[in-house]
Parts: sequence; C-alpha cells; structure tokens
Amino acid sequence: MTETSVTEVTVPQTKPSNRRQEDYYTASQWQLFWTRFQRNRLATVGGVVLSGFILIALFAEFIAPYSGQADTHDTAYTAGPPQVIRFCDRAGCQIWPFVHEMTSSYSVSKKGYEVETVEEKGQPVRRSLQLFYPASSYRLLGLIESDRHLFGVNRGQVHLFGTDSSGLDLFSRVMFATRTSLSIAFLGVMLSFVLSLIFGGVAGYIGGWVDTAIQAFTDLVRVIPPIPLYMALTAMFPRDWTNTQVYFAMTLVLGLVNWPTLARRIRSYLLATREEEYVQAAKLSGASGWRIVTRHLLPGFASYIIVELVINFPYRILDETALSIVGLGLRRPTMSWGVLLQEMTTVQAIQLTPWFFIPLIFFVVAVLSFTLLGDGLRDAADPYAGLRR
Amino acid sequence: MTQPIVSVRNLKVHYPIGGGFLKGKPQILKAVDGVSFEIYPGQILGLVGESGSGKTTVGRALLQATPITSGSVTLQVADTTLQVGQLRGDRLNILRRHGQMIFQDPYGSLSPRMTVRDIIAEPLEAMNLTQTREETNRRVCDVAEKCRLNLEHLRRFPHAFSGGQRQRIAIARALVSNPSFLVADEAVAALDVSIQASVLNLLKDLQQDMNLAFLFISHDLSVIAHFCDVVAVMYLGEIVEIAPTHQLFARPAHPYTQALLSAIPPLDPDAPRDRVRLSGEIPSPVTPPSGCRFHTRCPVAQPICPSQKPKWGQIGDRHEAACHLVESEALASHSSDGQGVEA
Amino acid sequence: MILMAESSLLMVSNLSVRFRTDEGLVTAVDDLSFALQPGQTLGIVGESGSGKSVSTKALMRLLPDYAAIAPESHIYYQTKKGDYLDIAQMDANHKALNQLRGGEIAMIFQEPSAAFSPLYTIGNQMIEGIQLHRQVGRRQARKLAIEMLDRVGMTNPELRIDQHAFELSGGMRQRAMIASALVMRPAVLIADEPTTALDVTIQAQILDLLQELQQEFGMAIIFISHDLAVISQIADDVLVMYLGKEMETGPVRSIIRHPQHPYTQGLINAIPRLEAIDQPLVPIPGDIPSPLERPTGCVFHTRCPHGAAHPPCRTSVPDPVAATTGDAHPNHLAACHLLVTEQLEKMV
Repeated sequence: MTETSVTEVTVPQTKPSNRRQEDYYTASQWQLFWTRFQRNRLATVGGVVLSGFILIALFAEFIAPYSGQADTHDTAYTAGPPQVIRFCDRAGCQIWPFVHEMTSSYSVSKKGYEVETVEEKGQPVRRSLQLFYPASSYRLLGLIESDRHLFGVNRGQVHLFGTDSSGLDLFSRVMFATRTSLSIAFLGVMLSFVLSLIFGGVAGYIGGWVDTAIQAFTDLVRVIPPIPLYMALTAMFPRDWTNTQVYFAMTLVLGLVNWPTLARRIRSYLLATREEEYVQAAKLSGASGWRIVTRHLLPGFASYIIVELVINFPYRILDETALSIVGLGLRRPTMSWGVLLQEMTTVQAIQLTPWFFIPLIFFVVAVLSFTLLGDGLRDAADPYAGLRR
Repeated sequence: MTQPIVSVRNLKVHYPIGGGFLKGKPQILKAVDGVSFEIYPGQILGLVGESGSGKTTVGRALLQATPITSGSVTLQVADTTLQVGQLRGDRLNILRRHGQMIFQDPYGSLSPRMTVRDIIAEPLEAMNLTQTREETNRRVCDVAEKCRLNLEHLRRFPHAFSGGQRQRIAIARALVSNPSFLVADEAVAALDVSIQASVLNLLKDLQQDMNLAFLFISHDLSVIAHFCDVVAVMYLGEIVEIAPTHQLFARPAHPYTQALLSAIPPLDPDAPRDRVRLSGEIPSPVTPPSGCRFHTRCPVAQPICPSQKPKWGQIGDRHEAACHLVESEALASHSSDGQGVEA
Repeated sequence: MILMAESSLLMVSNLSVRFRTDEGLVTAVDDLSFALQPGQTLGIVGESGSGKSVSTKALMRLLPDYAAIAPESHIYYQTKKGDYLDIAQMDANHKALNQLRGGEIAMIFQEPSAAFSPLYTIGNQMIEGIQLHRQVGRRQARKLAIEMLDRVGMTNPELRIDQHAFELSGGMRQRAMIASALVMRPAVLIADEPTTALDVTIQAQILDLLQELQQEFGMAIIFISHDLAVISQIADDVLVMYLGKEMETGPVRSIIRHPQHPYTQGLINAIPRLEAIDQPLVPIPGDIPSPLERPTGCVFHTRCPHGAAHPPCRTSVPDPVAATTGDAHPNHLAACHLLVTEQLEKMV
C-alpha cells in the first residue's frame, strides 16, 4: 500500500552491510507474516499438500483417465483390486510401464470376488501405460476443449485404485470427489464468511443497541444444535432435485449453519481494535469512519480473517462428508468424499474390498493439512511473536 | 492579557456504568465533576493527579474524544470560536487540525501496518490539508526533521523503532497539521529516564518554536515541575489546587498537594523529609465522599470537611486552592476578593 | 567484581543469559557478578533492555524456554539449612528448585494480577503455598495467611483472604502479593519494579512497608527499578546495569553522590528533580541500541560523551576498577576505561 510513497521520498542508499537489517525494518506486516510462516515446516508441508489437492480439484478431468460416470463401467472388472504398475513380468521387461489385463467377478460359491489375470499363450496380457493419452473429450476449467488425459492404456481400462462394486474406476472417482468436496466446503466457508462479515462487522463497528440485537439473533442461531439442524434442512431437499440443485443447496446449508461463530469473532476483534490507541489517534487526526475502517481496521483484519477461514475449512469438509455418509447429503452418481466413504461402510468392504478405503486416506490427509496450514498461519499472524521485545 | 486559547467552565463528564437493556439502572461514574481552567496561547498547563483522578478524561473532553455531560469547553483557534462537544463536519475539522493529541503508549498509538511516512501524513491526508502528494511529502519531511527523525527512516515500519523514536514519530504526527494546542497524555511516562529527558527537551523546543499551548497530563510531579508553566492538581474529578509552577512547588497549599510532593522519593537517601504519609487509596468516583472529597484521607481533616464543600481560597498571585483550611486562613489574613475560579 | 565474603547468602559469578530469537542469538545478561549478604538490600537499576529482570529471573530459574544460561555461569546460594547450591548449574527440573522458589527465594512483581490466578481466592493460593513448603493443616495454614495479611496492613484480613485479587485495589493487591511472598519467611525477596504501576502516594506506603518487614524478618532484598530515586530510598548497595552489563556498583550514597561511570552520571543528570526545577534536563544522547546491534567494546560507548575520543572504548570491554575520587567508598567500582587512564596518569 505504500510502495509508491516510498519511491517519492528521496532516500539515500543504505549501506550494503545493513541491508539485511534494513530489509527487516522496511518489511510490511505481510512480509513479516510470510517470513514467520515459512519457518514453520509442518505448515509449509500442509500448504504444499493442499496445493496438490487444489490442482486435483481444478484439473480433475485431465488427471482422471475416465469420467467416473455410469457410461464408463468396466463390466469385466467389478470390485477389482488396484492394478500394479510393472516394468517386468514372466515374459521379460519393457521400457514402458504396463499393467496386466485382469478380470474380476462375483463367485456365489466362494461368496467373494474372484480376480484372475488374463493370459494368452501362457503369458499375461499387457496393457501399456501412456502419458497424455487421447480419450473422452472435456473442457478444461470449462474453457479449453481437450481429449488428452494425464495417462491411459492402449487397450481396455486401467484402475490404479481398483474399481467399485459396479466397475467404475475408483481413481477417477476420487479425483472428481476431491473437486466436489473441496468446492462445497469452499463455497460454504465463503458464504458463512460473507454472512459473518455483514453481521459481525455491523455489530462490531456500530455497537450499541444494534450490537445487542444482532448478538441476540446470532446466539439464537448458535444454540440450535448443528446436527439436527443439518438433518432437518437436508431432509427438506425434494427427492427429485438434480445433483446440481442438491450441490448448491448443500453449500447454502453449510453457510447458513456456520456463520455465527465467525461473526462473533469478527465482532469481538472489531470491538477490541476500535479501542486501540492508533485507531483513536486516527480519529483525532480527522479520519472519517470510512477511512478508519479501510485504512486501519481492515488491513489488520485481513490476515486474521484468512486464518479463521482456513481453520474453518476442514470442519466444512467434515460436515459434508458426515451428512453424505448418513445419506442426507449428496448421493450417487454425484462423486464426493462423503458419497465414496458411504460405499465403504459395509462389512464386506472391510473383508473383501479394502481398497474402498482409499478415499478415506485422501479425506484424512486433506483435513490434516488444512489444520496444519491453519495453525501455521495463525502462529505467523500473531503480532506478538518476536516483534515486541 | 490576551484571550485564552482554551477555556473550560464547570466541565462535567459522567459515564453510566453497568446498566443497559434489561440490566437495570446504571450507576454514574463521575470521571470529571466540575472543572474550570484556562490555557493561554503558548502556555503549558500541567494536570497532575493519581490514577482515577479524571485527568485523562479532561484531556479527551477538550478534543471532543469523549462526550461532555455539562459545562463548556471553548477553543479559540484560527479566529474561530469553537464550542467543543457538538462540533461536526467542517468545524470539527478545524478542531482536529488545530488541536492534537500525543498518547502515552508509543507502541499502541502507531498503526503497525503503515510506514512512518504514512503515519505522519495521516492528518494531512485524512483532512485533505494538502493539494498534492509532493506537498504532503514536503511537509512530512519538514516536521520529521523538526522532530529529529532520520529522513532515511520514513519508509520503515514502526516495529523498527525503540520507544523514544516512536514517541518522536507520534509527536511529528501531532504537529504536521500545524496545530496551536496539544494535549499530551502521559507522553513520556512509558519512556526510559535517559530518553524521557530528550523527548521533554524536544517538546519544549517545539513548543517555543511554534508557540504551542499544551495541556500536559502526568502523574509525575517532577516531570510536571520541569515542563509546565502552570500546574493544576486533580483529585477525584475535581481540581483542588492551581498555581504557577514555582508557587506550587515552593508553597503547596492543599494537603493533597503537600502529600503528593512529600511522597516523591528524593534522589539523595539522606535528604531531609517532612513526610506527609497518606493512608488508604483514592475512593471510587462512583460514590465520591461528601463535602471535601479528600477528607477520607486528609491528615488535617476538620469536622466541617465531610459536610461542606470547600470554596476556593486565594494564596498568592494566581495561586488558589479548594480547602477549608486555606479558606479560613485566607479569610483571616486578607479578606477574599471573590476572584476565585468557580468550583 | 564481587567482594567475596564468607557470610554471603547469594553469590552470582559470571552470569550470562542469551535469548534465541528469530534474528539470532541475543545477549540479555553479560558476565554479571554480584554478592548479597543476609539482611542486605541490593538495588539494581537499569533502563529497558538492561537485563535487570532477566538476571533475577535466572536466580530462580524462571527464565522462558528461549533463554539459556551460559555454561560458565555460577549462582551460589546458601540455604537456610546451610547447604550450598549452584543454582545456575542445576537441572531445570531439579526437585530442590521447588523448595528454593518461594521457600528460600520469593519474588514480587510490578503487576500483582500476574501473580494471582483469577480463579482462586487469595487465601486459596497462600494456603496452597504454605502447605507446599510446610507440614501444617489447612486450618493452621489459613491462620498463618491471615496473620501475614494483617501484618502487611490489609484491612479486614479475615474478609480479604476469601476475595479474589481482581476485587482489590492496586495497592491492596501489591500488599497481598507481598504477604504471599513473605509468608514462608524467605531468606531473599526479589522485588521486580513492585511500585512502578502504583501512584506515588501508594508507592511511598509500599516502600515503607518493605523496609519495616525487612527489619522484622531480616530477609535480604534485591530491589529492581528503573527509578534511581526509589532505589536510593531503599537500597544499601546499588548495581547499575546497561545492556546486560554492570556499569557501576557500590554503596548507595557513594554511587549517588560520586557517580564514576559516565552512564550513571548521565542517568542522574537526566532525572527531573524537584530540588532543581529551573535546571535544564540533560539527556543521554542517542537511543538505547537494539539488542540485535549490541555495541562492541564498552557497550555504552555509542552514547558516552567521552566514547568517541577514547579508542579503547570501542574495542575492548573495560574491567571494573575501584573509584579513586577522594570521597568515594572503597567498595565502589566502575567499569570504565577512562577511570583506568585517569589512575594511570595519576601514578605517573
């Protein structure tokens, strides 16, 4: 915010020996924030892992070899285990990685799935993996038309994470589920953020009886237990709604239920900051209410808000997942972590098809990295860490 | 004598505490309860008292930073008479431009997210006092130089500075709009001794250069003694004694002033001291004692003190105190001419 | 710099404390040595960053996690039973430290609310402390606590003991803290700016009280303050610190009347004094350096009026030497190159 003014005031060049010190002295709060954040290894790891998830969410069509929809059943390989990428087998080695062609079918006598490797002339049949394989076409980010996928095989299908009980590729489904779950949580958090900013901001800045009224309303929403509220709201979704409708209704529910906590925090932050001496000083310098909000309150507030939002994120993922698992949220054929996890909640899954748990790993890793990142951001945003001595 | 720049008449600032919607009738905290004084151009009035005496509230009321319950505060600046308390819009801007404040905490009073240049420029930019950015920069550099700040440091953020430097930045911000009246609320209390002296000297130099009028609020009588022309002693929302600095320290009249003075530790351990030790602590301003508010702690309290409020008694030239003893003494020596400041 | 005496209760030698910070290792206390006799009051005076608080926290091993006591440091202490301990070399979790804290060495702070939990009454906390150190029943402990509250001048001690610290006024809170610090009759009381947050009238009351209690209980006091005048009222000996180094030490009258070190002289000149209203204040030039930019040689040379002209000040750390001004006390030492030079010139 001050870059321009810095260049205008003529400043003699600092001696190189003091450069590091001078960098510290002229570092803005954001730069200090960033420096402190980078020192936190765990949080940085969380951030990197999360960027991976975001890439998956953005480019799911490209990363997933198949659409994961009903028309991509691999009927010969239902409930099949993950296929191993090989370079060598009995018949020798090759430079290109490949997988074996396999079949999987339910055997009534054995009460389980029988998996067999298809053989020709006594040798397993190979399916070669290829990068940027052309297959079904899609629009990347809704803009670029393409038919290239990150990888594919020259014959049939490849299932790195196995298939589900109707023969759909689990890898592709996990990729699309990542997008759904993250985006629902994102929209839910954003919606509750907007609501809390309005309610908390008005209550905190104006104060007085407006504050009392808004607080009463906030408390009213807060005391309703969230799980029954979720259930009631989601049970109201008509059965004939399309998946898109249910999707947006879910974000709405997540947003509507969760704003009060954040609203209270924003309010108390504003109430506290309003009394800070530098805000008083600005007022006595003739600054208008608008100027105080935009120049003095919001800049301090931004880092705080971002931290709050990131910390809130995993809880929204949990909410969506929990609702979908109990069958109140999204349903097949929509793919979300909750929907995928719902399919694993059978005894057979534990006994016969343990790879149904792969979405659980994604879910746990995502929630964990959000929490690590949130903690790291919060520590870095703490203005009392190492500044005042 | 010239016209005072600030005249305060029977100023009262009361706050409701507790209370609120469905919470019953609030109690009234009488932070300032009938205070009158004047400050002339270029004069420094010191306001001294223990915590809870209401001295900070007086300072805030003078700059319309807190609502005035009753009484009047009149500011005479830039050929305009301002009735502080109800000012809005342009007239409020005149007050903000000509009356500024220096705060106690050099850490809390500077926004941590603005460069020093932006902090000092705040009054100019907020009130549109300059036409161009160049003019703003020029005035910022001018005032920074006056406050003995290194111009190289203007692009730094406050976290780069020590307490003394920060307080000089705060002083530069207060002076950038060329005010004629300043309220300094414990402006050196948070500083180290070796730094405090240099900030006080700087303030004094600036005060003489710019002919500033000051309300200098402090709990520290020694600092007041070195900095102020006139001193007013406050106790529990009221002024109990007011006098030119030399007079006050040479001949303190009110028992409270005497007690305050004798409580200050001298530097020499063997310095002779006629100690007036006060027992107890300052009572709550919600339920102030009747009569003379000091009677609960006064070492020389008389039977009349709890029942009757003392009138102002004249001790010397412009030296007055509100105490029954002073009153009777004054009556005895030379009949009071009723020139007293109203209490 | 210490005068070794057999009777010493506490002897600090070569104490250094360093802080690990984001910007590197910062020296908070640098090679500090002093001794404390039973019943004596040592005043430590210094400005912010002087290390006066840190060094006394080290005596009780109450330093924060990011602080480390240098390996060459020693803090010898003779317990009430007559055992000798080296507090600096003890393991941080050593059991003896618990007995030491509160039982042998007690501490009072600037902000009494920091010493009392808002969840418990003053009585709860005092009784807990008593029972921690002594085998007495709860009723007996409560009686001791009430006696002590009465002794420090609390009105209605039977009533106050069941109140919370936040219900008391500043002065009463400070009295309650003194009571809870002294109830175990410690041999050493460390008072860290105990009157700084108080009004002068209350400050005078608390100083009087501390002196009375010292007469009665005979404990030694280490009184830390930024205010030389307060120190002069209560201390027998004074230690002047600047940036973690001892500048000057000696009996209080000698230090105040015949300050040898330019820093002490500067400090005395900078204090606004009621006896000399019309004399201008003479500040010490410049600012206290950031701990990150610790000056080489004599740490004061950047602000010293003689530092620029005297080359050794910038390069070598001065050793304390005895003052030679006629009236200065023989135990009065100052760490300044100028003194050494002066003495050499006299000898020639």
